[in-house]
Parts: sequence; C-alpha cells; structure tokens
Amino acid sequence: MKTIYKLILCLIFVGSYSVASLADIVVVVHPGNPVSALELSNIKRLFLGKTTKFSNGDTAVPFENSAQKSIFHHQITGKEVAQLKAYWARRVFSGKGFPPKEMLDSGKLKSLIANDLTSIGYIDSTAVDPTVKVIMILP
Amino acid sequence: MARNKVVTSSLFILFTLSLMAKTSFANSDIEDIDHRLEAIEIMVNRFHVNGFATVGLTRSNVEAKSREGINEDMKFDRDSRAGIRLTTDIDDHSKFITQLVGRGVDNWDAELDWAYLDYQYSENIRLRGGRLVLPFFMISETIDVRYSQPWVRPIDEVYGNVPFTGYEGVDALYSMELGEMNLGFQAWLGTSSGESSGLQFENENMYGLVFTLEQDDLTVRIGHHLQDITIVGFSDFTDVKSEFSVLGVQYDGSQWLLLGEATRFKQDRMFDYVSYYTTLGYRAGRWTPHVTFADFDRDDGAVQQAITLGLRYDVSANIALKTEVKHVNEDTLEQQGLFDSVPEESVNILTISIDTVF
Repeated sequence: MKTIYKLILCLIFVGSYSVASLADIVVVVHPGNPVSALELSNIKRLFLGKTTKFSNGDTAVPFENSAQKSIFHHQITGKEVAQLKAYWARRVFSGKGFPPKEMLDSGKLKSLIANDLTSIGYIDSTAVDPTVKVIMILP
Repeated sequence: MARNKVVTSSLFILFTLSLMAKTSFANSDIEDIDHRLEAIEIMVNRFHVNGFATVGLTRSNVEAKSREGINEDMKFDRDSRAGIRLTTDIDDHSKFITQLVGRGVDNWDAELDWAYLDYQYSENIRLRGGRLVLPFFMISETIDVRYSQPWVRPIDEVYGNVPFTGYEGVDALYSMELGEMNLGFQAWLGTSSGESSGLQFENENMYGLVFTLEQDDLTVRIGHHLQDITIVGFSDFTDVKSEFSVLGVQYDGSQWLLLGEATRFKQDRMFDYVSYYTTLGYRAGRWTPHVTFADFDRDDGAVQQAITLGLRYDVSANIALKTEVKHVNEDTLEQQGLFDSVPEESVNILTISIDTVF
C-alpha cells in the first residue's frame, strides 16, 4: 500500500514538474479588453462560476483549455481534476450553473478569444501573438 | 401522491408543447446548408443533459435492519440509482429543468423528481416554480448525486429523517457578490407529500428561508422552515405544526475537507429531535480517506450514534470508487436507535460502491 502511494505521489510530482518546465501558462483576453491585469482571486472566482464579471464590472465568459486544464486549476483554484468535477456536479445538479466550455484545440481557443471582447482563457506562453492580450503569467 | 403525478405530468406536457412551438421555425425558408447547420447547433445548444449513477453492494453483521434498509443479507439495491437531468433554455432568461431518477429500492421505477421553470427576473433575482426539491439541507439538491459526496451514502442520522424530498410550489432566490463573498437568500412556499415506514404524509402551509454565505472554499448555510404535517388516516395527526432548523458548514479546500450539518425538529404533538454529523477528510492525490461522527437524539428516548470510516478513490475525472464501514456501538444505542429492532450486538455496515457523473 505504502509503495503504491509513494509511486503515485512520485508520478504526480514528476508529471507536473516536467510539464511545467516546458513553458509557462498565460491568461489571455481580447486585445480591446480594458482590463490589463486581474487578481488571482478574480480569475479563480471566474473559473469556478462564482462571478461572471471582470474586476471593472464588464461581462466575462471563461473558457477551459483541455491541454492545460489540470495545471491551471492546480495553480489557480487549488483543485485537482476529480475534485473540480465533484465541485461542478454539485453546482450543475443544484441549478447553480454549468462549467466553462472546454476547448480541445488551443488554436481555436486563441482565435475565439481574439474575436470576442468578453472571453477569457489560458494558453501556452509560446503561442502568444498580438491577437490576444496577456493579463497574467501563472506563478 | 396521485396529485403529484398529475401536476408533474401536466407540467411536462406543457413544457413539450412550448418546445414544439419554439422549434417549428427550423424547416421554413432555410436554404443555405450553413444556416441550417447553425440552426441545428443553436437548437442543440439549448439542451444540457447531465446524468449520474451509483452501483453499490452492502451488508451488516446483524439481523436488525438499519433505517437505510441494511442487515446481514447482502444487497445490491440499497444504494444503486441512476438519474438524468435535462435543462432546456427557453429564451435568454428562462429555462425548464426536468430530472428523472430511478432507484434500486423502488424497483427502478423512474420518478420525475423535479420539473420546474427557472426564470431569471434580474441580474440578482431568480424565480422558480413547479415541482422543486425541498431546500432543507446543504446537499438536498444533490442528495442522489453520490459522486459529489465523500461518503457512499448521505449520513442517515441527519439526512434520513425527512421522508419527503420534493414539493410543489415556488421559490425566489436573491444572490449577490460582496467583495470576494457570495451571499444568497432563498424564500420558498409550497405543499408536499411522501411515504415513510408505510405512513402517508401530506404537508401543507410549508415555507422557509435559507441564507447562504460562500467565501473561497468555505460555505455556511442557515435555514428555517415551517410546515403543517398530516399523517393520512390518523385523525390525531392532522395539521400538526412543526418547525425545522438547519445549520450547514462546508470547507472544500485543496487538501482538507470539512462537512457538517446540524438539525433541530420541533412540533406540537409527537416527538422532537436533534441530529448532527461532522465529516473530516483529507485528499492525498486520488485518495480521500474520511471519518464521520453522527448523532441522532429524539426526545422519546431513541438515540443513535455512529462512526463512519471511508475511503474514496477517484479512478478518473468521472468515476469514483468508494468503500466504507459504519460502526454503531451497542452501548451508545438508546432503545433501538434507528433500527427496526434492538441489534443483537454492535453493528458494522460495510459498503462498496462505484459512482459516476456524465
């Protein structure tokens, strides 16, 4: 039992370390969005469905990125994927709302954000170009 | 019960009709295939389907049956259940919600648990009407969605005391953000009926208020509810005034999980009771070991205390495997507790289950 547990911990540790070292994750919005920086707590609340607004009061529509979802949530909301699923199950089945739409294709997510003033998402820092505006680099 | 069915089925028919009226435009005048696809996409996006299921195996070491219906005979049907929830957007402000649940204990006869219209009146105010879930507990609305809970089943000493889960009526929800806090006020009104231990209950003049505070990973919920209870066929138990107060706390952090609810039930004629439980859990990767202490104390002398040790393993993001031992020490039992007879010795209930959401 102990060995299995250690092995799992090792795998999780090595897994997150090697992925994180490849590139940073950045939170991006439309270049025309007046918001230039967001507090961590605001981003956390947006991606947990606890608010639907940027800090300036404008409507915000978050999008998940399948490729980086687990690392993003590990760092921003502190929830692992299964815990996040249970969190959303409680909200969905009590009518409190649905989780953000999840995009499988990072390129499509970027072009969606480039064309929608209300959207907010996260992508790999190497994919950043002038079509989107970076408002946070993940710690 | 029959009245419920009539109400829910007429709501369902109404809902279907309104849907047909809304979608009939699709065939006319759309020539371009892109437009047609877009129309289909818009139509499909108006429906959200969510489901859940649990398969469980359970038994205890004694002949006396616990209130969950468990004794020394191994059972598959106690915890097994499946449900499907359909959310249909009618327009930008209104949606209709239906939830169908089939439970092993009811021979899998599917019941339309909920069927209600949800109308967003303003940014902060939502109004709902139809067949709704009684908002007694913090987990009332997700009580069948076992995946969303740490345990194999909701703690019986607290959640097993109310024999009715739904009501016909209306409610209003006011929610607001205050800095990093979310505040919610809910007021509800309606009637309800249900069956417990062969008794048929009819409740009228039911209403209540619920206040919820959410900050970061912490939720605190306080509710107070009033109702007139009638047990059909017992003239002494007609329109018995009763009140029910509930305090719930949940902390759902990255590592630690704390969950608890305390209830007090008071009424004019029969017994009163208090009940509570506290669950503490620790997440270590996919494993969540947890421990629960639960207490039920009725003023006619029935007392039951239970300690539950459980382990949840998240197989994937949609599937959880759980195992649990619930221990009821015979020395802490007063009378027969919540068992159907006095257990011959201390009771251990063992359960293994698989939960899923999709």
